[in-house]
Amino acid sequence: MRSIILNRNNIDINSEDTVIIESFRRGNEKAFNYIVLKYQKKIYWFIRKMVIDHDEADDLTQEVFIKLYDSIDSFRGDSKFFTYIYKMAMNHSLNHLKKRHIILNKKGDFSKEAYNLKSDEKNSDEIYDSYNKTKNLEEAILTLPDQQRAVFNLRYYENLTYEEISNILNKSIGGLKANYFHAIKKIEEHLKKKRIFNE
Amino acid sequence: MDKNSSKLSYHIPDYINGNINDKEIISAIENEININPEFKKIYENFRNTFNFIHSANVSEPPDHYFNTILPRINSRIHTRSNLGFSLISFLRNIRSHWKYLIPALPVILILLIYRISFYKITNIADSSENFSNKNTENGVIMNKDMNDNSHVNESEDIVQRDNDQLNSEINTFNTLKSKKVKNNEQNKFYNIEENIIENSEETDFFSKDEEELNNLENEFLDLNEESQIEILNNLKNEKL
Repeated sequence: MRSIILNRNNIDINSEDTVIIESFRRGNEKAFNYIVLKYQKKIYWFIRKMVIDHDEADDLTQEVFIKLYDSIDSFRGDSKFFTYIYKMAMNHSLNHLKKRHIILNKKGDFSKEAYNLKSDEKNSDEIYDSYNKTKNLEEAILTLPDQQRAVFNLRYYENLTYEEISNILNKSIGGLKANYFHAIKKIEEHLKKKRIFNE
Repeated sequence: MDKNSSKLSYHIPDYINGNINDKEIISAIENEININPEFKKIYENFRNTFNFIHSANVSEPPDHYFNTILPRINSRIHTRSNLGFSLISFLRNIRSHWKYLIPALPVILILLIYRISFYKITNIADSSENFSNKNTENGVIMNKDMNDNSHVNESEDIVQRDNDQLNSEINTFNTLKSKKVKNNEQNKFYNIEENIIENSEETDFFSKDEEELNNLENEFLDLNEESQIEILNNLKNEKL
């Protein structure tokens, strides 16, 4: 009995997801911490690319993990755990985006702060140029419909395969490729509108 | 652009980022770029767009941000648990009892509705009984149709009675106060009068003594000399 308990608790952040989850299900609270530590960056960045704003992304990231804490029993292991948690993060982000209307002007404030903080070694023109690029890209991403934004983020930033994205979004691979294509097209059009590119 | 070229164009983003392993698709794309200017234009625009996306640094969160997420999540979970706010955990606990709860739910609802309606009927009956009892005491015969308004009438009566009582108390108080004032004034008067009477009585007393003395003096003078000397000696001996 004691060896079972020891085995149950003998996990770390590098353990298999299924082992960590099983340990958490059996009451090992530390296992939940490993899940957070393992996925926090991925989930934060995915949500951040969806909502753009850091504060909102921060809040949503926490909520996703709290939701995971509450509903871990509903993960049956039919798909990979990362697909499950990405799906949760994506649904949570989409619900959030539906609830609020995005004010484009507000966006990029955090970016400015971040660049100001890290501006010691750069000259002001570089900072301004870099800040503008980021701001324009964020604005372009915000113009994408929710579905296209999710596909663009998962494919470009998260580097997931179409099969994996298909599991998360429950869409056909052909449809996902089309979504990705149109997402890039829309970003391009936004940049042209901003006169960053020539027609 | 024909249908084949259009389908092939969906591979352009992955072709630019080197994410296509299928050599046939790669060669088909390269061929299309060479022979189809429209396709080539799409490819070049996409390449520029990706160059821009690559060059745009994504703004980083503050330093040590990722060290703070876990403590804050745990804090939120524990705060919520301490408040007994975990509806989900409650649902999780009763999940195994759903198969009993669902059939029992209609029965519970029926009982609840029955209970509420019974409670209402009992309340109406009680209120009408109270109202008729009060009316009988006052010797008033009320119409049954007014039973619904019994509570309102009763409370209005109570308020009216309270007002009347309060008014009568105020009147009594005022009367007593005015009486007291009058009494005080009368007392003052009586005191003055008593003083005058007392003074007058004292004056009478002195006037009476004077007469008596005069009488006594006359009686003394009417006596013979021996008797006068005897009386004087007696008085002298008694040291009056």
